[in-house]
Amino acid sequence: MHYIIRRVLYFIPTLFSVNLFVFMLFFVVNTPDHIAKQALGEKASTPEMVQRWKEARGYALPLFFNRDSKGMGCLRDTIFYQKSLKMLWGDFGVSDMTLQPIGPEILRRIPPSLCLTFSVFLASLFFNIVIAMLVSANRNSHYDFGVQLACVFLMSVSSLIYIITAQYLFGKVLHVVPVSGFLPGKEMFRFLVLPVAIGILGNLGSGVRFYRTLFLEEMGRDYVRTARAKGLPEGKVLFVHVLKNALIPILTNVPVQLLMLIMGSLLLENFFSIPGMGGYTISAINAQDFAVVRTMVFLGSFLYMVGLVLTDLSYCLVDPRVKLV
Amino acid sequence: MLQSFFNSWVTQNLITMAIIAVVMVAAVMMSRREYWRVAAREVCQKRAARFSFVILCIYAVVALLDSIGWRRPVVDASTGKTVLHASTGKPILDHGASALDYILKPISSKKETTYSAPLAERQFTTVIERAEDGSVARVHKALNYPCQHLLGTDIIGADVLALSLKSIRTGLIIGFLTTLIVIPFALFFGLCAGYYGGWADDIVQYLCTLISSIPSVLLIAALMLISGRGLPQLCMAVALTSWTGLCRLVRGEAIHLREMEYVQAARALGVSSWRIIVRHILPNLLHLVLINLVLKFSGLVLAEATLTYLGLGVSAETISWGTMINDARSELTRDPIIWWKLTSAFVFMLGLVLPANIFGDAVRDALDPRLRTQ
Amino acid sequence: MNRDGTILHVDGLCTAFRQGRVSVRAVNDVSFSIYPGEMLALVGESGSGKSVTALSLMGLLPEATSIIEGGKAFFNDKNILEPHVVDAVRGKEIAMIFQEPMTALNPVLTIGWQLTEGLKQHEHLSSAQCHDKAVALLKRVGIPEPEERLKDYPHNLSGGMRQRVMIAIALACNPVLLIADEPTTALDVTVQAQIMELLADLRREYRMAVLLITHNLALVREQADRVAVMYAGEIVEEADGKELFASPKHPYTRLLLNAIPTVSARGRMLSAIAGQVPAPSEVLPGCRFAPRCPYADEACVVGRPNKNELTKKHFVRCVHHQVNSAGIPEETKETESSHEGKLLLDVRGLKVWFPVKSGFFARTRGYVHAVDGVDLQLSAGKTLALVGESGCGKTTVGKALIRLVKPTEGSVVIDGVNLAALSEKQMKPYRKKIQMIFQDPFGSLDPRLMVGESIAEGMDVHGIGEVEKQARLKELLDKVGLPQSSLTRYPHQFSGGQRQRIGLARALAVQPEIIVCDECTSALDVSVQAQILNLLKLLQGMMKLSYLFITHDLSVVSYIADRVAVMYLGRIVEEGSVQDILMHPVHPYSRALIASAPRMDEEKAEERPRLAGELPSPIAPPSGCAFHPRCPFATAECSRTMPTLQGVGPGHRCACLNTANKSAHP
Repeated sequence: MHYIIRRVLYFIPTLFSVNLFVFMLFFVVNTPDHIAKQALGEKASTPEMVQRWKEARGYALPLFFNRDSKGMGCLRDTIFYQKSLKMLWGDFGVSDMTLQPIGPEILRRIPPSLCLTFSVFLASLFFNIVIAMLVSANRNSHYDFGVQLACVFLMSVSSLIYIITAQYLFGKVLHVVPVSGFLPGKEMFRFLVLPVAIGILGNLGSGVRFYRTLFLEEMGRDYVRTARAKGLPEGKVLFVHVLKNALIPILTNVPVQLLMLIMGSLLLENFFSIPGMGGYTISAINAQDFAVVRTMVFLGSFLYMVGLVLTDLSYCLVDPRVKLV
Repeated sequence: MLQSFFNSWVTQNLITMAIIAVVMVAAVMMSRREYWRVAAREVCQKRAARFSFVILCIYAVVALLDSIGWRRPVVDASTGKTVLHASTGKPILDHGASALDYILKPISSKKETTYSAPLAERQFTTVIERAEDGSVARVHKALNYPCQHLLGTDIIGADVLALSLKSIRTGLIIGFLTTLIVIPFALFFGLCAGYYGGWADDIVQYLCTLISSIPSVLLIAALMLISGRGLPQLCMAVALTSWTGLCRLVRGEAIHLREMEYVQAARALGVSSWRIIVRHILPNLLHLVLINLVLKFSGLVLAEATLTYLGLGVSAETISWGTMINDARSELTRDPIIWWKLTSAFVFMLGLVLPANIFGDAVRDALDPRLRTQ
Repeated sequence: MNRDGTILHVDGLCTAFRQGRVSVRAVNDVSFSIYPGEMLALVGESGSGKSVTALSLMGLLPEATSIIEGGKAFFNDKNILEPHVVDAVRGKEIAMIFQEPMTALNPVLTIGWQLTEGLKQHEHLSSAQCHDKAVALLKRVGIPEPEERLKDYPHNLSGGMRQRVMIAIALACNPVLLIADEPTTALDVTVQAQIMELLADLRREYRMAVLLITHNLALVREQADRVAVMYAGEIVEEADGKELFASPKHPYTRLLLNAIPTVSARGRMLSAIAGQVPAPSEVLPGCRFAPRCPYADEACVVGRPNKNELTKKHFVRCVHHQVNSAGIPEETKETESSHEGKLLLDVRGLKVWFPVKSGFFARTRGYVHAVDGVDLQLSAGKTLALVGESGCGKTTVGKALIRLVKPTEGSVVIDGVNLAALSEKQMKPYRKKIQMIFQDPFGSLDPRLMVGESIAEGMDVHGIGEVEKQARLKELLDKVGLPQSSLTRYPHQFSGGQRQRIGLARALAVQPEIIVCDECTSALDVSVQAQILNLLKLLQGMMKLSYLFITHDLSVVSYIADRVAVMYLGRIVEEGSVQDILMHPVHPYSRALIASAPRMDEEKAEERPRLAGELPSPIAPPSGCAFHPRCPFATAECSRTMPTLQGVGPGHRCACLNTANKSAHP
């Protein structure tokens, strides 16, 4: 318990710093005037239009300290409080372009995104580990060599190519799956098969290589020799001794994998018109909607940190040396 | 401002020369040390690595040719004389072009009006044409230069082969310039944090945690939105998000090396910290830095395409594989499909990334002492 | 058992490793037999192929890089070298224990799991039966509270306890043969003594044969029934333990035995063997020892010597085994023993505490009392040995003296200047006076610098001109016995012993008065260790150097030291001349330490004070006398009062409440 509390307490200052960092980036490096001018068109904007634009979105306030307000208001009626600190308790304000609140939009878009990301994550973890295990059990064989060669090749192809060709091949030529779109419920499966398969393929090359090195490193350890000396069959040595130890570095890599997945799901959601957060982010980027991008940056790091804490906690399950005190 | 600075031919040539000089100096310094010579020999012994290196060199030469450019006086087509400025009497210069542009002129000047398949005689699209007898027919018009476009032409009739070759520079710049920006940051912060420890370490660790806790795509998105699209901005943004990984590696290794007995011996002799870092720590972790950079290089090239597709990379006018693939998406919805632009981008990209990966593996095998002892 | 009465009969084993395209033979035509209940020791320096022999027999070599090229090994009349034959007996009838108890156990599985795994595999016992057997086994190997330990993970146990668990795992299926590969090398001497005693008991009890693989000749002398000496992949001599040590026949064996430092060897040079063990890739058509052998002639280099049977149980593989039985010409160059010099280094009340940080904002939770009030005096031209087990803080003392760590308290006075009070900048000129040489010959030289650059580093820093530098470099290489061409070569081109010479040259380059030798010979083989010890003695005589010799190896101490200080948990418990400490130790810890160490020059003592337990944590040292929890003579007073060093004889002091008023010299 103590450990969990401590982890969570560590997490708050980092979250606060990310908040401050995002604020600096979006309001100090880049001023609201600049945002307004960009949105209205550099030449077409008059000072009055800029002022009106800013007021409509709450950007007309001072950055940190409002002299015109009274009491706590001088701190509260600022961009920092209104636009940045409020994100800490989930108030994301409105979109710059559509003036629609961002919060509900995100809530609506979370389930499809989660479905996609987690399916890709779990499936590729499974495939990567199984293939890597098989390869490292037969290391230095022709089979191993072939898989390694395939991995280098898979790694060298842009994920865009995978998506475009697969979509064309399975969607348009073979008509196996719908080209794009999304429906909740049972139908979801049909729409997710192709994106998930592409997601797995995109991760396979680097994933298998990574886990292979990891398993081979574990297999060179002394305890493996001890296990063999006990007369255990090779299968038991691999799947009990090696795998259980390898879980520790595998877990360490999970947050990194999740970060990579964000990029992948941006692409997949966009190509397959899945109404998730990735699609939302891309349209915000294309529309230069700073409010939405800002929210996404903050939310992304929040999710990452949650993942980090969860990983730390799950260490206790696999590594007896980590104590919950 | 930044954009115009980078777009001027003088600065571009200077930067190119500087990069060549840096690479040459590094190569000469390394070749003096036996360790690097042995490693280079080991890499060369592998046929695949040798072959990859040759391909990488060809790409590099193409990119360099595309980076050095000059402006030429405008020549009046009718008189064949250079046009002079009315008031100053000096020759008027054109916008300038790179050496590669001059080389590719025979191909790139053969303009068509629209799509054509590789080595086709006629246009890909049809136009409605009224024959002399008054009947209307959809016909494929003949090309201006039939059978001369090895990889076909794109929507505005530009040669795809020329486009693909011009894209090489963009891809290599992303890989190389980003690396050049990352190295000093990562080395400086990593070494300070690792060797000195204490509060220097705390600050660097904090910075790293902060930056790496923001998913890199989103941070790049934020940075690109603020700074506007463009090649130098993209390099900066990617560098800012990716220096933390190398920094952590350097820091960890510096902590390990700090405890090595030869460093202890140097300290016991009264060698200053700065000198220890430069003489003992840096040379002993340089191989890890090199492995890391070589292996990351291909990822950077691939990232350019993806980011460009997401609207975060280079602007649409810049010729790059990213923009080529981006265009291909709409081309694939046509019937029959236009496959050659996507395919050329894919093949040319694979031609860079695959050798880069193979070469990177060979470098790692040659330099990583852990693998060497196995 | 085989039909001929042996447990294991190995005949002509050859094992090779693939290195790129060439294959290199690490074990060449090795034959031996083990009889029931007997302990056969396979002794040799590193690279002799002794571990590879054991792993070949167990079928545990990495398949990808190694091949067994020939030979037979019969166990139960089956050739276990044939593929998969050994699988049936491995872990069941032949068991093995390894060197590193820290890494040989799986860190994420419980002791119980690892212990019962083999039982389930081979004996097909039920869970309850397994549990009972596991408890019984742990109890047998001397682990307290076995029921609770079954649920523990390896990291909860100390090194000695882990090795006991390893033994329990090996014993699980009542093997008839136990292969022990350097079972005590990673352990401290007091723990080594416990483990060896346990092995001896178990051997008697289970009537189990043991193949002991070790480099430690003294240990072999005490433990083994029969000894096979390996050199460069071959067995060069095999005999009964007593006979081998009494009348060794092979020149290598003889030189090796003479290379071991002892008290009786003091005052003369050790018989170091020139050069080093040849790499397995070196092609030597004749006797593999010929290049280093003082008796080698043409007959030695033409063909491989035959195995000569001297008696029924004594074999030697040497052409000259009869000719040279007259004895080896000993290098009896006398090293002068100078009389008492002036006091050079005076350390008073030295303390080094490391903060233990954890929690928010790295709060200091406590301190590791690594060094907790140490007094040392070193005279010019003398050697003071600082002895203790790992973790006692002896290395930290060395580092504090040369200011690699900052002392928390206390004074380090050289030439009337207290170095502990100086700033880093003020310290710089004094760094020339005191230098250090290190333990790890592979870590102590920067692999990216040429040897000349490494040696010259100190001279560069202390502003010595180019001309003088070059002259000194030449002189230094001569002094440490390296060729002049070494300057432009890289460390990886040198062997361990040569690297230690380079390290010594680097320290000598600034002309120090004191050299701190931190375990500087413990990573070396005996024959190479002798070379370095000889060199150190020679240089001491030549340059009037003083050494602070930090070591755990008492045999080295007995040879090189003038005075000895015994350290336990950050404090000096006893200090005196080498004769006083080694012959008449007073403190119970020193007595146990000295009794635990196997010796070459003394008859096996039957009754020895054995020490139970292991070193406690220096974060929370025991109250009063730090040794009282392990001390057999501890009284209630010991847990309350911290003893101070009291004189127990001339120049002999001891920190013990019970012996403080007794004299060591009755």
